[in-house]
Amino acid sequence: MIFRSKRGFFWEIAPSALLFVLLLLLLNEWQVVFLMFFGVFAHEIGHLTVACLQKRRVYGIRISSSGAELSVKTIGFSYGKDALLHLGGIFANCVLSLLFLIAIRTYAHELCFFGFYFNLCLVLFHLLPVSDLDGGRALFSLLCLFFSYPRAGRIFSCISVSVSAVAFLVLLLLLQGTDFHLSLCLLVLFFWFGIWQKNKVPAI
Amino acid sequence: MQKRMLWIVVFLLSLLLATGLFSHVSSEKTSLLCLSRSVTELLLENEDVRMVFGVEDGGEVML
Repeated sequence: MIFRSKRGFFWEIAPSALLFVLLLLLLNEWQVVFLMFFGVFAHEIGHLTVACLQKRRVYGIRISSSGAELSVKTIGFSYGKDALLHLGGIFANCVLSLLFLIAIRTYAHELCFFGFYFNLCLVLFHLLPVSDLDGGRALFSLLCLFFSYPRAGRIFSCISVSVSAVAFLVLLLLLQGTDFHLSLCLLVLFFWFGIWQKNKVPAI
Repeated sequence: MQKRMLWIVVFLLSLLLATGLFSHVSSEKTSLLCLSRSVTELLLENEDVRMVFGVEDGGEVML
């Protein structure tokens, strides 16, 4: 489903995202789903803030099962600025996890703990140097600063495939450690599906 | 195209209905909050983690 404003800003919502939200609501308390959305929203606000600071044009936002994704102008900007743009979201989640830590120290509620863990997981997940994650995109931009574009691509592919394999094994061990927790398995499945779909369909 | 959209909307509305009907399904085996609670209990056994979280030994935690 695509909605367009008069200025050309688009909102694309994948049906799988709605299905994902409904399944999460079915299996979790609404406060948990709200906190998860808050984390994802803060992540995109981080990207948007950096994009605005760098005076980039923002074309729209795409919401899929693997999260939200901003579509911004990349042509005509240095690789260093690109790396900063990709790290903006991670920085926002770092700030949010710190805020949740402060909240825990003053008011040790279980939702504060959940907010802290979720944002920390988002930071660690996005820091992975894997294709289509913020860490991967930032690393590729940084590699382009030091190597030619094709060579940077080859180095990045090697790193991305190796880290993906290790991350997959660690994730399986983690899931096994939680006795294959249903919601956690669902999250992993949808993220996996989202990344696979993004690799299949070229980005706008 | 419109027919397909209609089916998607009907499907999602049915799911929403199912969500309301089966909300009692939410339990320790499915809720992420319960998982987070277990992780917190496990982490708070460590003194260094308790210091990071600012929880004193025997202090109150709302879990």
